[in-house]
Amino acid sequence: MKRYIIQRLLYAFITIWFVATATFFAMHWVPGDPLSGEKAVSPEIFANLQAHYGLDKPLLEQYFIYMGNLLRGDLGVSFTQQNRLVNDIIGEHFVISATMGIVALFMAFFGALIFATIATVYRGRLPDRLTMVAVLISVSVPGFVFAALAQLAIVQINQWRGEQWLPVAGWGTLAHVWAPALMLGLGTMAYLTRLMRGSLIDIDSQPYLLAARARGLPPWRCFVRYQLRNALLPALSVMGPTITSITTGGFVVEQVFAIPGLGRYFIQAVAQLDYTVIMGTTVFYGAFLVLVVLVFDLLYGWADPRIRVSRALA
Amino acid sequence: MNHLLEIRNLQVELKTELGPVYPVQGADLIVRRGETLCLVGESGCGKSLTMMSVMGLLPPGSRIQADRFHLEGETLLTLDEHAYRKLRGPVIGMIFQDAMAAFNPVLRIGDQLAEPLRVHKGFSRKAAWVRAVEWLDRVGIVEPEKRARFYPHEFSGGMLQRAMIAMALITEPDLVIADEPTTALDVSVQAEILDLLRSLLSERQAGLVMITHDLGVVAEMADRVTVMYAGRTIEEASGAEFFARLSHPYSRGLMACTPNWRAGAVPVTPIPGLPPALTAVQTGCAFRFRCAEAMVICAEKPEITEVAAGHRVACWLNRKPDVLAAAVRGVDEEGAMDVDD
Amino acid sequence: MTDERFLPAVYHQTEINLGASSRYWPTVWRRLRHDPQAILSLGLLIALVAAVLVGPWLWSVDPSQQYLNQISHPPVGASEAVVVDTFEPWSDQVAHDQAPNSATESPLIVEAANTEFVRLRWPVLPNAARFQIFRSDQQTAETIPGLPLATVNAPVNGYQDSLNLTSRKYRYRVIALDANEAVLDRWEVHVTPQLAISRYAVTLSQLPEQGVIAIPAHPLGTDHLGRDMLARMLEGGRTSLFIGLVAPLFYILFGVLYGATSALLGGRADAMMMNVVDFVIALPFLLFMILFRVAVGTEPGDSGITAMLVAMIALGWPSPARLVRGEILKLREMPYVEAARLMGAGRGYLITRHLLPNIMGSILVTFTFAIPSAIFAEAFLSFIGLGVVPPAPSWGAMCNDGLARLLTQPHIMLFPALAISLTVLIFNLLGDSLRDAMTLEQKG
Repeated sequence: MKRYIIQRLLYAFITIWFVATATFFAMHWVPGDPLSGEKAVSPEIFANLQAHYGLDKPLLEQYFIYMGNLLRGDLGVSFTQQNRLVNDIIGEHFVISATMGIVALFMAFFGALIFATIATVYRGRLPDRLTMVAVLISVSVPGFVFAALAQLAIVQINQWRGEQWLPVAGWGTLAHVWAPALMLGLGTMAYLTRLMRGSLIDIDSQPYLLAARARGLPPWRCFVRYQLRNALLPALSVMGPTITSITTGGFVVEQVFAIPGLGRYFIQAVAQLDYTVIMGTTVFYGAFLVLVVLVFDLLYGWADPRIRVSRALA
Repeated sequence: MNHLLEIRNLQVELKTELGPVYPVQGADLIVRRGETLCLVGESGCGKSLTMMSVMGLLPPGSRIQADRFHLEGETLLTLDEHAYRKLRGPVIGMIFQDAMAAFNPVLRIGDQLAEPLRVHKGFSRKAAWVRAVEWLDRVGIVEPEKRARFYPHEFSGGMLQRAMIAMALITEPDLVIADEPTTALDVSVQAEILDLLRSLLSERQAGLVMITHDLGVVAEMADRVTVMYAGRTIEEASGAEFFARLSHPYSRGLMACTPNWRAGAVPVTPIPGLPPALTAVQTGCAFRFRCAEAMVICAEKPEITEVAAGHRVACWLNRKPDVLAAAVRGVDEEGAMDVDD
Repeated sequence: MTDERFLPAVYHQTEINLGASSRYWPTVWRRLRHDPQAILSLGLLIALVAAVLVGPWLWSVDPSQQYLNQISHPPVGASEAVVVDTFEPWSDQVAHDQAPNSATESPLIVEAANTEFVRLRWPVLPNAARFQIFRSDQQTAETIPGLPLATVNAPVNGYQDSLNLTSRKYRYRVIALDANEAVLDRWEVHVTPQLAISRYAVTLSQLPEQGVIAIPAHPLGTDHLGRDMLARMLEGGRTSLFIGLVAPLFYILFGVLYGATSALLGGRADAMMMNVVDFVIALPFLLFMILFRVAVGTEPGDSGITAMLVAMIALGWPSPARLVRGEILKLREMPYVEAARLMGAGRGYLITRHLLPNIMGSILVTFTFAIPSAIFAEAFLSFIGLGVVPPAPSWGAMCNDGLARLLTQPHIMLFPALAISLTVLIFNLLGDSLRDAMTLEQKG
């Protein structure tokens, strides 16, 4: 097991290194640069600026400086917003994105748990069919469409009630969280519902469930310990990709609800060709996602004893 | 009466997507305390479903009816789910065919063993665990404290089957149902498991129903034998009487297709054809399509009638005028000699 | 004594029908034909592709033509617009002494009524100091004056309104006040302006210089630049479907070749090739799409489609590669393949005869489900402004255009959003049916 963890950590490290390198060279390959922007500057000022940002050095030297800074955790200074450290930008805006993401993840997970249970209990009957239709629609509609529809709905409801039921956009209070988080989690909820329903139904015909009932265990105990518990494992195994999709889904939901999260900031930076912010954010997101996937993989291995052992032997 | 379990004319109807199915159409059997009943028949003949109805674990939407369906003199037909649940475990225990599949792969063996004690007998977590370890020891698992912490996939097949037995017996049931408990195991392990089961049960005078299609196992274990075909009991007798006087052509067919190393010269003869689909209630003898001795009257359903003390058969051959019947019996004795010693 | 009932007899069991054809593809095809979901989704898919291919030819409105007088219009039918002079100030030119025609019903006179401007004139009142002008466009109650447009001072007795006029019924109300704010008089008139287009806009839109210009119907309205939504949807659908079909086609093809090679080589080569797969799969897909897209950049006049395709193919191939490798390894263990090999079948024979037909099913299903993901990815990228470059339409880019106007003109975003959702839904339905039909273990 220890060997496995070390091996995975090494892989994660290499992946993050690759992300950083790829980002660096991709950024220096981009046509146009932030300095030759709107205003025409004299050649001297331009040279000064280049020297200031270290853009006059050879590419490889820039790369090693960049990687050295990266190892120290220094992502540099924003090109467009002078005096702002990329670290600070990420720190400030990621909290917002993470809050929304975590709420979305919880909503998606517990929503899926409830809907999958309902669908399984009423298998083949109306509640099940309705759930499956809702699932099909939810996996077919892009997140930003849900976000836009929710926003329209909130406007309508606010108008109809004559008072503010939920804020239409922005960030700040708890009330600002619900709608975007739910819309962000909806696709994931649908995906997890389908997955869990599949496992629950699969387990329905497993002999160990019958054996549990044959021991006279109460129905809820059979359901929770023998059916639900086992059905959660496949859901746990896709948690890494799920968090990835919630993170990137956050980019568009933040856009629609005008939430000052890191995703929205990132897209802005891309539009403004803010080198350091793009690189810093990409590396940060890359490292974050690679580590999240790693953590959930390990967690899954810990939760499923079958995997725990097969990896210990590997 | 000293019958632990008595079933007379059990009928089961299942709902499926393609319409109703009648997998059990007149099952008869009796289990006495301390006795082993072997329930014999091909796959799909209703053995398992009969026993599942005893467990009260038929799929939802099933209907059952019977002339008698009694456990220790009390009818099971009117029992509600809550009362039934209290029987499963403490009164009726079940051993499954595939032990690997019958354990939840993500719970420790010890926890799964201890669980019914906590649910039914109010054991504390610790006491239940201690008892579980004790039982693992009793079924012959070495280092039971350590093994109780194992997960099912860390056990070998034989060990799992032992653990399965412990799990069924830990609540000390009066009736144990074993659904082909040894078919998935090596022959050498089979015998050990059967011995273990027998010794554990005879200690406590519990009844055992063993579902099997292995006549070798039947010969070794059975106090009583019940043969089912197409959802119906067609022959029941004590073990010795059964092998001495196989009275249904189907029983004789089963015997003929059991390989026997001692009778090297006698070739194994399969029974031609397949059992009928049970989408309707049979009007005549269900075996007549495959029976070499079928007669005109077999289109009518033969009642199950006593041919000797405690030996009941549902076959028109036994009601045939005497001359022919004697000839038929002669064949039986020839076949029986190979096994019954 | 013989009883006839005990004479021997032979009984024949009715044959159990075990199903007709057991060949794979005919069975799959038969199942699909009997699955209403498959028929429905296939029909919708054909309709969609036909609409996108033939649609621009039938609906010949130019998707880049701007109708400057029809910006962000909700769906409208065809109409004709008169060409009027470009807006110029008018109230100063109103002559003070022109007396109103007392024969008209209302003292409030409408001198011009088109969607570029509405000109009102009212009687000269000796004591009047100021006039307030209100407009309302709904059946508002008498007590509500409506939108206050302006207040004009006394000598002027006319007003020109050119504020967001559309071709519907308005009620104008003018209130005359004296120096002490006392109401002297109030007049009302109902006006339905005629659809018009200014000479300036005609020149700008490069429309023919005529007195009357035919404005085509906009069944789905116009976008924020006055372009026909239907034409853009059809054009954008081509982009979205093109990317949705071509990207998966290429990356699955590459993935299949890669996975098959890896599986057939085996040993160390296989292990190394799979390490690469593991590595690429670990990269966060959309993040790299963004980065890739930024790095490749776009030349002026480039639609950005190529860049997106390259990025999708570069990042999409590992999943099918892994799938195909797994399938082939599984198949190789199958007894019948083993048997064929033992009987001396060559590698080529094994591949074409056993491996390929058996993995075709999973490849087809993977392809069907890859299409909606690719459409999603395109929409995502275009929505955040990193997909197709503005003049070229795509559904995702149209959604992006509509986002800023979502609360006022929701149709600009909702129509393309609906198109994306429906298309993805169709492919998901089709994929489900296909997968069900190809799973042989399921109910026969």
